[in-house]
Amino acid sequence: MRGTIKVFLAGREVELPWNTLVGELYRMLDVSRWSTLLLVNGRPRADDSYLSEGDVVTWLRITYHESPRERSGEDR
Amino acid sequence: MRKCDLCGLNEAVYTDLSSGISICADCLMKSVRRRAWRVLREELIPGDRVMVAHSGGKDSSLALLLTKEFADSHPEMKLSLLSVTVDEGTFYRRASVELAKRLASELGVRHRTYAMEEIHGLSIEELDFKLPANWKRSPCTYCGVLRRQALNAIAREIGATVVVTGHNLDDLVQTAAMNLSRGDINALVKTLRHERKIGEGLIPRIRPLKMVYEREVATLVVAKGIPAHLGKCPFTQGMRIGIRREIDDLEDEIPGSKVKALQTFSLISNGLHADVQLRRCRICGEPTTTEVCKACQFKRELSSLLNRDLVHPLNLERVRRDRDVVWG
Ligand SMILES: [Zn+2]
Ligand SMILES: [Zn+2]
Repeated sequence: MRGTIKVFLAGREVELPWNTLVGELYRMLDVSRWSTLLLVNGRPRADDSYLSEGDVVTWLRITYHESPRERSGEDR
Repeated sequence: MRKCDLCGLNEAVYTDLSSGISICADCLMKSVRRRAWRVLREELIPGDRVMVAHSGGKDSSLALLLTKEFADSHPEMKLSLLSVTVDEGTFYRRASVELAKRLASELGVRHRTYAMEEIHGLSIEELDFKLPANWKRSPCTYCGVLRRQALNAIAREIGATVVVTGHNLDDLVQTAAMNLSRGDINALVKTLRHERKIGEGLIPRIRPLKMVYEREVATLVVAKGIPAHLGKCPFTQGMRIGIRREIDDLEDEIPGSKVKALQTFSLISNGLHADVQLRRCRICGEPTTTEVCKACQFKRELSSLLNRDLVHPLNLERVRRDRDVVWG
């Protein structure tokens, strides 16, 4: 059994332990799961799914939204 | 393949940290639909003319899709639907306007685009171009106020009885926390309480995604291939970044705390009395709490900078002409 897998993180090839979970990448990359969505081969994946050899990991900023109302009266 | 904990059929795309289960896109859609429909069931009334404020971004696109599904599954409610995009005139918006049109057309919902320039007499692109680098406000601040006022005025003049927006759980918790930290009770109540009778030309708003995490919305839009713009607006400022981070950290430590927080804020706001006297702006006639509304104050500030008089009532001629045709 192999000890590591090679995956592509933002276009760069990196070597990770064979049992790396998608959810662990958030900590590794130091990004918040609440502002970033990791995609594996272009698709969202559950945090507790394993990465496989050759997976391509990209990410998407998900936080863009105006506020419903910053302050009373501000939009009125 | 990591399979869905609920149906056991498809690949899991989302992990719900408070329950610890991982689910597929179909099961996530079911769960989100259940929460959104509960809001729509409670807040819509039969015969409503529903205008969806549809920017083409992920949140409002999902809100439109779920509202359309709701209307189709509840023919007895006799709801009419309209999707409206306010085009602020930015490079960013151009892509999302096209996506908004495409989704509306795929769903069979009438769609209208009104330009900020046509309604207010200025575009955000012009502002971005002409605002000095050290100017006291960002284009984003102006854009938010002008867009919200335009949407309400469009809704009123086009004959909508209610406006659906794409605000999600994260948006609302952040806003409520900011209102609370400022001690702004009136804003807290208005953010969280749904009221049908507001008066003074203000159209009530419904937020079907208020119990849906932003992360769930993004996951669904990508996994289901819903036509929606996922980019980040280049003008967005980091004004609420601090409070967002605190709330996100809390959610990481105590999964489900955003839901609990919003439920608690809502309970608190139900017991509060908002002391807001709505009236019409002396200049433009739009609803406001002050003598001159914020939009007019901003436009006054910008008139000297842009070398033309921007302080006048909104141009809603085309909207009024559309009133008789859009509801079919
Ligand atoms: Zn499933
Ligand atoms: Zn005004």
